[in-house]
Amino acid sequence: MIVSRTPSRGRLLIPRRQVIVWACTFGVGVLFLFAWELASRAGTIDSVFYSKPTDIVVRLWQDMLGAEVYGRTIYEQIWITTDAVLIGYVAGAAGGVLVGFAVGRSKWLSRALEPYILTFYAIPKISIAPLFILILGIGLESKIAIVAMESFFILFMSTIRGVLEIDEQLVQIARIMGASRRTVLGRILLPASLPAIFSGLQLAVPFAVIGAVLGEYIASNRGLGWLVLYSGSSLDATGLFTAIVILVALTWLLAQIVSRSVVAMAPWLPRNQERRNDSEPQVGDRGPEVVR
Amino acid sequence: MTLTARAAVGQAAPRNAPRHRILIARVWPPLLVGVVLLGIWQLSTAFGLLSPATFSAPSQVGVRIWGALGGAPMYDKSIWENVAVTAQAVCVGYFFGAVAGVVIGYVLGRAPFVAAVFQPYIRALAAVPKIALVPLLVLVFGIGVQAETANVVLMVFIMVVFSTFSGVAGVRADFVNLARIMGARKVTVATRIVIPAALPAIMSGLRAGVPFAFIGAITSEFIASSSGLGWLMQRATAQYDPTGLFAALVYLVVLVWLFVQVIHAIERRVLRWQRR
Repeated sequence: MIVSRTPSRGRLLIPRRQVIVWACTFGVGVLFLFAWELASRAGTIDSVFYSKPTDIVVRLWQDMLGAEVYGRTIYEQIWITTDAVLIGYVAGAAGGVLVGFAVGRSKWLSRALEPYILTFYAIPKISIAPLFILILGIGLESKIAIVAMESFFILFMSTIRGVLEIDEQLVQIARIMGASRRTVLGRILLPASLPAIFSGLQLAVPFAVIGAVLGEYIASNRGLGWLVLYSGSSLDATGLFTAIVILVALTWLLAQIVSRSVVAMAPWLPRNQERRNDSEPQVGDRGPEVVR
Repeated sequence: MTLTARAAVGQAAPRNAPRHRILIARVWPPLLVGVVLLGIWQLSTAFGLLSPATFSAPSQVGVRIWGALGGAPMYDKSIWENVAVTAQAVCVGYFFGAVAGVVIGYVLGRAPFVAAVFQPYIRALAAVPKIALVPLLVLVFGIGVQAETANVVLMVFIMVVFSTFSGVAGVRADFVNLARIMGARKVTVATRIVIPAALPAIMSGLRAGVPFAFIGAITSEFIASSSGLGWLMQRATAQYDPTGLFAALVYLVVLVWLFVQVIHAIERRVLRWQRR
């Protein structure tokens, strides 16, 4: 029996309290799904607007088997969105790191750009999205641009924060010992700013997906974001929920890929156990306490 | 903590310089950058590097902004109507979302068992790209302001509940126990100990909720609305009207800035004892 009051050495023991918590969590979930299903079948909530869990599961299964929804399989839709996300993310992140480095190390530039950065941080960057649509038209390019803009900004802020936190003494000591500017850059500045950059890379993933989805909302006829919207306007609540589930799974998958790559590339860095996935970095913001 | 405070090892002007000197020293770099960028934009359109049809020009945008101030209609609606719609949705939605977030976050934070049970669901909800939920709410609430307000409420709620929950759950048990040993009633403990200790986290959540409030409102207006600044921008895009788009964007930026100032003022007032 693995449930015990107190853990003892040698075997895998889970304290009883934790098991009770898990059971309740599971129970709450099951209860919720049950209530949803019943209410939908009984007509208490209109299943056209709210769908039911069984319908969603069935549709997910059909989608995975390759059923065509609105003329395309789910895999095609996933690829269309992922394509935009990947290209935009890489381009935007690279640009953000480079520019962030330049601005972070230049005091004058930091002072000069600060009000614009703070303003840009506050406005919902999605409001710039129509501008990209106008300039780049309907198509993959505008989505890539939107994703790139989101990633750029996040990496930019993260890199600046990382660069600003570099201990000047390290740089000065290296210079005293005769290091050339290139050595200082490559051996001191880059490694010291890596934690912040990697943190930015991870933070940018959900925002990149949001950018692609938004681009598809306002100017597209394909992709996961479009699927969410079109299902909604076709009163296909099942399709809507299915698309949302797949979108969440996609975001999770991409985030995992990025965070595992980061850990693999720099195993000596401390791993962030808890990180707010929803807010963009703000200079001076130390984030929430660890959730118990 | 500003970027410049961290970046500048020394002030641009000596600390005992007259105040207007310091002000000028702080203001001119951003001003210069702004003027240079606007100049490049204007000249590019004048010389044909950028097509005015796609990029517009600062002069045209300025004229449109000025005209709209006076009430000139854009797409049959005055800018102020649109501003009012968006502002109202944001304010109302933010208020209800924040209140609900703080209340529920508090309740969850103070009941560790309930919190532990619901934690995976809260985390899951926070992990959903919130923009994906917008069409869902539009489906449920229909086209118009109701869906928009609902979106704002949801976005703000998610941000605030998460922060409030962390803040309240993270209050040191010693503080609470000490107060209770000294005979405090539950209400006293709640209002005098827990809430002040959790306030920084709560304010951080409220601050984080602001951009999301606007994201929710604007996205909702993009996809299902017939008024509001987001609708205006969408209309301008569809009509290939970059001037209108930029003009609307400027109004939006000002609106957001105002809102942020209000929240900051509240924050400064509430967190007065904290050294910034």
